[in-house]
Amino acid sequence: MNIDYIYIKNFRQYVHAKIEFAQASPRNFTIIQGANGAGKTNLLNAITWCLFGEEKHVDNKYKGLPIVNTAALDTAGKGIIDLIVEIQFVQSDGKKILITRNLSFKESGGKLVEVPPSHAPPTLMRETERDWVGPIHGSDAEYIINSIIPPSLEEYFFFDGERMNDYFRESTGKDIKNAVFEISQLELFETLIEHLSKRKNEFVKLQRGLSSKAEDIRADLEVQNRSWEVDKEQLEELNKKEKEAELLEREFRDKLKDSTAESIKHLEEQRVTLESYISQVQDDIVDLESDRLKLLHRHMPTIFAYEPLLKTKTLIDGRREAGLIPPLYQAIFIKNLLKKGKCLCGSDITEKDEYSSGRRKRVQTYLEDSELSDMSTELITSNIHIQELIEDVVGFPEHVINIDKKLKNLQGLKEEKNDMLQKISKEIKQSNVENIKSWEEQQQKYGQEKDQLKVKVALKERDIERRGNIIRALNSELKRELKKESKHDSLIRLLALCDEGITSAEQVMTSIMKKVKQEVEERASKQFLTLIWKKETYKGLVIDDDYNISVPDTSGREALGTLSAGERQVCALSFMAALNSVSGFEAPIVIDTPLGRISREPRRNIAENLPDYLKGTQVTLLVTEEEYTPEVRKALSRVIGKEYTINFWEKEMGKMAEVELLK
Amino acid sequence: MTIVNRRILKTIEESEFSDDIKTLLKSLLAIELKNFGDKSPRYGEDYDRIIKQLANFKESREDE
Repeated sequence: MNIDYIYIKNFRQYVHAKIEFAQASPRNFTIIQGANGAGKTNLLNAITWCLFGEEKHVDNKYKGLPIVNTAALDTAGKGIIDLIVEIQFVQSDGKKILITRNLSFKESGGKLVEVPPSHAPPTLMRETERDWVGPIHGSDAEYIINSIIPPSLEEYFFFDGERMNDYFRESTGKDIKNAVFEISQLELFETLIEHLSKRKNEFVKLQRGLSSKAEDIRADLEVQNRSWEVDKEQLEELNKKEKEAELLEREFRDKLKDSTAESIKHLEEQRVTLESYISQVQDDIVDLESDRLKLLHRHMPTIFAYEPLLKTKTLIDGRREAGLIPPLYQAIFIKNLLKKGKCLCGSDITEKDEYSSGRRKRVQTYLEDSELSDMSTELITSNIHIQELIEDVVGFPEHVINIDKKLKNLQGLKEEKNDMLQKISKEIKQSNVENIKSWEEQQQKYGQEKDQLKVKVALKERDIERRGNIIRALNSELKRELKKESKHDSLIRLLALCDEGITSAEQVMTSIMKKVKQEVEERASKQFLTLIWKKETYKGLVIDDDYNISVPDTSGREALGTLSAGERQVCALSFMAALNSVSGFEAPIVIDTPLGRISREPRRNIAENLPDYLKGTQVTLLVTEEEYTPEVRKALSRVIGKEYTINFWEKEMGKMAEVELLK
Repeated sequence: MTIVNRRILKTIEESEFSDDIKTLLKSLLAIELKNFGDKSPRYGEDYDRIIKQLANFKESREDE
């Protein structure tokens, strides 16, 4: 699906603008060039406003300002003016979809009012084989728009270059996991499972004629389900608070980092390095503790059974030394001889004479001696295993002592670095530069709050898991109870179908998450190594099991924290585009200020590789003159289909911009 | 036009689930997609209709 054109009337600085987009591959790139503040980001906002009714990329400086062009409003005097954004898409079969969102304004008593007040729902027209269908309004129109680009996935199609630079700094493993979750549309499965569980409960709730035991279980289930819902709501709230605290902590730390006082800036940088070091030490501690636990699990049975094992070994060895194991003759052999009435030498021992009975008694003695013969092989094999276990456990104390020594060293190192962190904090607090003390106190306050909330989140998650187990057990109990009476057969069938649906949905979710994560990692890593200019420095991009992103250098050391702004931007661009490509949605990509943070030589490299990397996708780049150098233009020339420039000027009543076609 | 992510549909199709479960998941996903973004979606009737239809269908097939 490509954008055919966008028409804008009275939106922000645009009074009238129509932009037709390049479509046919290989010339599927549209370049829109404009100075800072000319209206590039507001083009991105016009697109998201038209599609989702929200300006998703609004600059802080525009927040609170009217969405309607104020200069046009001034010209209209007391009349009504219309704000319109219209986007026409072309589907792969050539059929078009036209989406329009509009608002009307007038000035009344010095205030700007919407006429009539509304939330500006979208209107949609759709081309079919015969004719255009529509207008389609409200939720039906929104449904069709969501199937072009779901609003939750918007940021993987409409990128803001400046924000991308901060993407990995601001995003935790949880955010990245959510991104993978969103891009795979797995939210749909999450709600599906939730709704299916609720329907299941409802079926049980409405069932009449239950036995008194089933009634009791049902009542229990209702209480547990209600508490489970409350727990989940509380968890959501805690997660939200944790994120807020984290953002606030980061905000104050950024203030310290961007401080004009060089000493503070330096201290803050030291703190970042120290924290990264402590985090690595902590990882090593966790690894060693896990090694120790594994060692304990492996040797504990032998340690507990050491004495009996040793005694068994001594007994078996004693029997062997006495020649009882293995016995001289196998019991079965002796039994056969006695049955046949033969001696070991072959002579007959069936006679009742002295010779025969003496020989028979002798042969019977061999049988008594060979009583252990049936298990002698097993005893000998077991003795070898016992020997191995005993030898293996001999090294255990030394292993544990070594691990404990290493752990003690690491704990000491961690404490030492934590002390250094405290000293830094103290030093920052003693600063006489205005605000510094308060910023440090604030960052500490929110940092502590975040840590406390993390613990609360973990506890709540454990509660939810525990309650989930109780609910599962109650459900099984209820099913057993219902099966006792045939009148509940239909209910049992409904519940079984719901259960199977829930289990299957969970399986699909797990399988997709795994596949998508792997695919995103492979694609992002490949793209990062293609776009990055220091090719010999980095190994690629890695997403671990907790969805934390790392960029190991060739020696395997983590380098994400040391990337330059430009490298970070390339890293984020690779990651976002990888998410985009695995999303399954064939929507156009618009990137605002894609090369803003990147220096000259790497810019050319990116411009050369970007078209191959986004092959087959309609791409629009919103660039400044500084980004769009002759070299970049030359590198992109093979794919550029349309080229525009934004001219803008300021009037007394506000800004005006127009878009001029260059090519 | 893509309705539900093709990867999801492909995973369901290629799974070893029974046809009833495949139908159930696809039908319920379509409802979820339609309700997506709705803060209090009315899904109950749609869910009940699909679940009951499939359960009845399964029962009549078993009776045969």
